[in-house]
Amino acid sequence: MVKKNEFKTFHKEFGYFDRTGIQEYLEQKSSEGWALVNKQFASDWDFKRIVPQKLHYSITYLPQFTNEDQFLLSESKNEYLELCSKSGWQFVCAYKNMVIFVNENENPTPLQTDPEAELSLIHKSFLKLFLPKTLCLSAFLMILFFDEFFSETVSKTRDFTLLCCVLLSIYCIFDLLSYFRWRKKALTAAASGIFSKTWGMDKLLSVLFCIITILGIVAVAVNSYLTKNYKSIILIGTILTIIAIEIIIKKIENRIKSKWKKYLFKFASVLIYIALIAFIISS
Amino acid sequence: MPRIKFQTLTEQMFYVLLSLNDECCGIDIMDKVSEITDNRVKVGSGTLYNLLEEFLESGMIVQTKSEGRRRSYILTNEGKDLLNCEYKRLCKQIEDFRKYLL
Repeated sequence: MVKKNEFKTFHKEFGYFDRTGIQEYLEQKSSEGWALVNKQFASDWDFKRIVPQKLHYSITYLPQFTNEDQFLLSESKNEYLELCSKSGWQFVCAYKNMVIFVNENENPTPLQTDPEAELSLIHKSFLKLFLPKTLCLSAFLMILFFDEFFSETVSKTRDFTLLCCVLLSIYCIFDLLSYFRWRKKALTAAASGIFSKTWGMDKLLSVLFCIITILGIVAVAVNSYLTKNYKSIILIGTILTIIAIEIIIKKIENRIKSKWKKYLFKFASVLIYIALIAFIISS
Repeated sequence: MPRIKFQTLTEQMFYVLLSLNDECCGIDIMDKVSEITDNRVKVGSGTLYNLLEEFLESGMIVQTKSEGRRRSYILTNEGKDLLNCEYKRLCKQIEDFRKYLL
């Protein structure tokens, strides 16, 4: 039986590759009496109550995998985990291709002892997971921008759309530039055997992203209101509802320990989705 | 200046390859490197796993057997050549040091 106060989800924003920032955060939480058990979304961290203690955390990236299931089902996983446990590093959880370990020893041998090798892992993961997504988004924005800009029929929310495209493009460019700027510095430091502090999520970029999302939703809402066509607002509302339901389902699922209860819950969540889709089609 | 892959070896790369002159599995490599260097050099588990994958991919080592969760490896001729090159480079560095500072 899981007591309510034993588990808690904390919301904390980090860049995906902000290894040092995440480590510091998890170590601080352990000294406050919380040990990480799972990571569900980009910024949700599930903890369980422990006696406050000094735990060491280490984060590593495995570019040969694109998601946690691929890693957990791989043949090399056991060999890797055995190697890590040799120096006291115990597997905590995996998120995408990020793997998190904990160590209770006082002065453990770090998981990564070669900064060049670590940089290579981060770069391969970046090229595999993030660069394609960012490039696709940029291409989509360019198409949207030019389509709207040169369109013969001027929609009532043209300015909004153009503004969103420009802001999102700036976001993508800054995101890429900040990575390559950090990588250049880190490579030079690594050649001398020095680990660089990883670059964190730029607060300015986070704020920019929130503004763009709100502007986008407002643009769709205003357009729907002016044109008296509510299809797009229903679509956005549905997407937001699905995201909210997905988050709630994941959170509940992670708290359920019993296997059959988990299956039952999954079955119930599938029914919810079916009901939701049926509702959308009928309306 | 960033290092070009395998043109020169980091200390950890050097000792991992050196310890694979005899067939060895991952866990034994960690002990062997500590033993060779009198605990001066320690290879982290994550780094070792990554290096083994890279050495395998580039043909510097080969997998000899797989027993349960343990895989064993051994140095190939390419790996031995790479170690020899590194040895010569280090000798040259020592020679230069002697010439100018001793």
